Amino acid sequence: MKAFEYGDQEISSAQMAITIASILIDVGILTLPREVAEVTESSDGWISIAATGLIAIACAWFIGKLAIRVGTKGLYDYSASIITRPLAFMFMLGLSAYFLLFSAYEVRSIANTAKQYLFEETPAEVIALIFLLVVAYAVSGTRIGLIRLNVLFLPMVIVIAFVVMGLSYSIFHLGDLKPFFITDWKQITNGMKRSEYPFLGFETVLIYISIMNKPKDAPKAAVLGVVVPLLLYLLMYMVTVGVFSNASLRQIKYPTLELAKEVHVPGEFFERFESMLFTIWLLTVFNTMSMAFDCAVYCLSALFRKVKRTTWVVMLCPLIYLICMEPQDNVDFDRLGRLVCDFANVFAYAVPILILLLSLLRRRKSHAP
Amino acid sequence: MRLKPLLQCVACCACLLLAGCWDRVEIDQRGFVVGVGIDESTDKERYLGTYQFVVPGGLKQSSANSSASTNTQAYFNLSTTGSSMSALSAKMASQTSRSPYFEHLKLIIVSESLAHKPEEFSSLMDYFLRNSEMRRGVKVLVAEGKAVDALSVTPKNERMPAAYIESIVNNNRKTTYMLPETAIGQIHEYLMRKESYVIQRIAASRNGLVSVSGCAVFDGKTNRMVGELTGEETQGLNLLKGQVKGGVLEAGEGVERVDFLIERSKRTIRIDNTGDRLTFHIHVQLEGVIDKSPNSINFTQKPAVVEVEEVLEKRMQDICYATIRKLQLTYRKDVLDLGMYLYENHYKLWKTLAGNWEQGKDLFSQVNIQVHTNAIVRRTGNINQSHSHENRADVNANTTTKKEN
Repeated sequence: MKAFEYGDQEISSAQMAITIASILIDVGILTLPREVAEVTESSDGWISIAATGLIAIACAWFIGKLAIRVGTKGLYDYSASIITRPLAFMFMLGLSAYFLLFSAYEVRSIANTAKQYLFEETPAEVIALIFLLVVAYAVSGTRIGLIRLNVLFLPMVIVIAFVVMGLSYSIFHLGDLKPFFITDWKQITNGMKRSEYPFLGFETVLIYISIMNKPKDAPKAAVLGVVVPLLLYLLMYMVTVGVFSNASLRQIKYPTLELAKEVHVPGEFFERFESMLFTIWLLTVFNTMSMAFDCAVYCLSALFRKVKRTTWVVMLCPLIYLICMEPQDNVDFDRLGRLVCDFANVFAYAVPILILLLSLLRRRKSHAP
Repeated sequence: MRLKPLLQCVACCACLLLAGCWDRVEIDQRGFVVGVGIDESTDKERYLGTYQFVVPGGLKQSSANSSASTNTQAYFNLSTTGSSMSALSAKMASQTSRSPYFEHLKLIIVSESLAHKPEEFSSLMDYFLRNSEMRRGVKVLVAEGKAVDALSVTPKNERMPAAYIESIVNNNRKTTYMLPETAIGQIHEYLMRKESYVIQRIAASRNGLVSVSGCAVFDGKTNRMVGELTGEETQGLNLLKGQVKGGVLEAGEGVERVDFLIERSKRTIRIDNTGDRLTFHIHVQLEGVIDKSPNSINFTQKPAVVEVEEVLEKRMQDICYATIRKLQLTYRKDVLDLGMYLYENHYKLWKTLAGNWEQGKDLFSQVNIQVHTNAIVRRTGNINQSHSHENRADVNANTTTKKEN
């Protein structure tokens, strides 16, 4: 019977792709149009986003390939077999630090935006704490449950994003997109650096590979999981440039939310459309954050096998909370974002790809007589 | 096992606390501000701000249409002085039982005398752009005279002056003398680009009504109002910018007058950079219906139709050139968005001109602007002629002589 299938502890490749897509779509999209517009001219920022997206797709492919090799062995054991145990230990520790920072950044930015748009009187500390506790509750459950939540929420998020973009048709000026191709390559590369954050997260395929029922499909699923957000980001960028024009887009802190504020829904009932977008948005940030938290727990419990999952969750919560409350202002907060990207570059991309290369080399050696 | 009742107890207590909400403000505690008027203050403080608050009780009465005394107004205006908009709002909260709440703000009216001061206008807009209760769609107008007067009019068909003004602001579908609405988000774009721009102008008239016509011209560099365009000049501006949505074009005098109801408009720009001076060719095309015809015209004849079209085209050119003269010679401000046109469509050329467009060599005031107009009378209404002429032969004779000419 079908009902029995839901009781299993495996995920299909489609579920994997959806999980990766919903990890990628997070608070990054709220600020991405501004971040990119700040360093590019006119509507040329799409080139930066597309280029970063292509790099991300390439990385996702390689990491997917590595994931096939990892299989059910677990990331720690596999990397230990390639780069010796102490180095693998360092790698896993770095990876878990990255996931912790990533979660902390998510909590803080959701607290910032919620404070700005929803709860003006509620202290940001309280918003962050409550969000963190809800995530902690989710993470102490099963991993498979979290992935099913992704599958449930992602379609809603994408539909709402498209509704917002569709409704902005009447305030969209095609002229604001012109002129095309006037930004030089230096600014484009600068824009690429700025657009890295929203593409973080596909490395989780290395961890969830162990519960995938067809591990062979991992690269395909990872690539698909990057393509969907890439298209959403490109479209969102073009719409925000068309609505606000580059000049004022640079100044708007959360262009995506401001877009929802600008659109006019016919009829009185949905006059305050942004609160709906925001509520839905909380879901996707919840997804991203719970997956990142879960990955951090996974990495650490691979290193210290005796500690129970719930214990890890309870222990890590205060740590995440302290990290997320560390930045004092906007500038500090942006620095935290860059730190997350740096950690990702090293532990989520460079090291795994290095491991993949080493393993390929080793196999060739072993095949040689 | 001992712990269980204790846990239950804690859980119950938690329920009591969880229902709390930090941001709860009862709807009857909120003072919904729908309009803001900003004037220059006479005393030490810089601004005299007038907020228009909604009185929900007043609104209810109108919908119920009860016979009870209807002298409860649906709004009240509160004025106070302050040296900045946020200081003013804070002061306002100490004078009214309901603190100002801006989510439903519809319009901001700034008085001319404030707009004339350098940088003043942009520093006022800063507050309204920054505050998270505000929307980027709030309309901004410049008041001829005092802003307070515009918010204090007593319209007969609307309950609130702000609602009344807001619905006038959108009427540019019906008249060509009015600019399209200027949203604060749009102004933000102009301010960031340091581009000169125009804003709708409002004037309170003596009979307790307002009129929105003409526009205020702002200099993008110094951020101040440098002058205004009359209704007719605004009509020219609308034609040249291709933002005519409807309304009437009048041509001719007395009984010879033609009124042309505009249904559709189209504008295209071409540039010609071959000569020593940059030339813009602006093509304006209007399509529509005859609303009032001159007495002697028989629209079944093609020459007669062409003749009317020519009269209209001539009129359009006159209006457009008058506006261009005023902008190029008097104000020297490019509110025609020609600079923007160059930036969008001829970026390389624009790069060489940008520095000297409005300042320096002042290129905008020297470019050659040619207006080419085209009016098409699509339909002539229910009837052909409204009254008979002395004799038919006469009319026919008239048209034949015209043909010969």
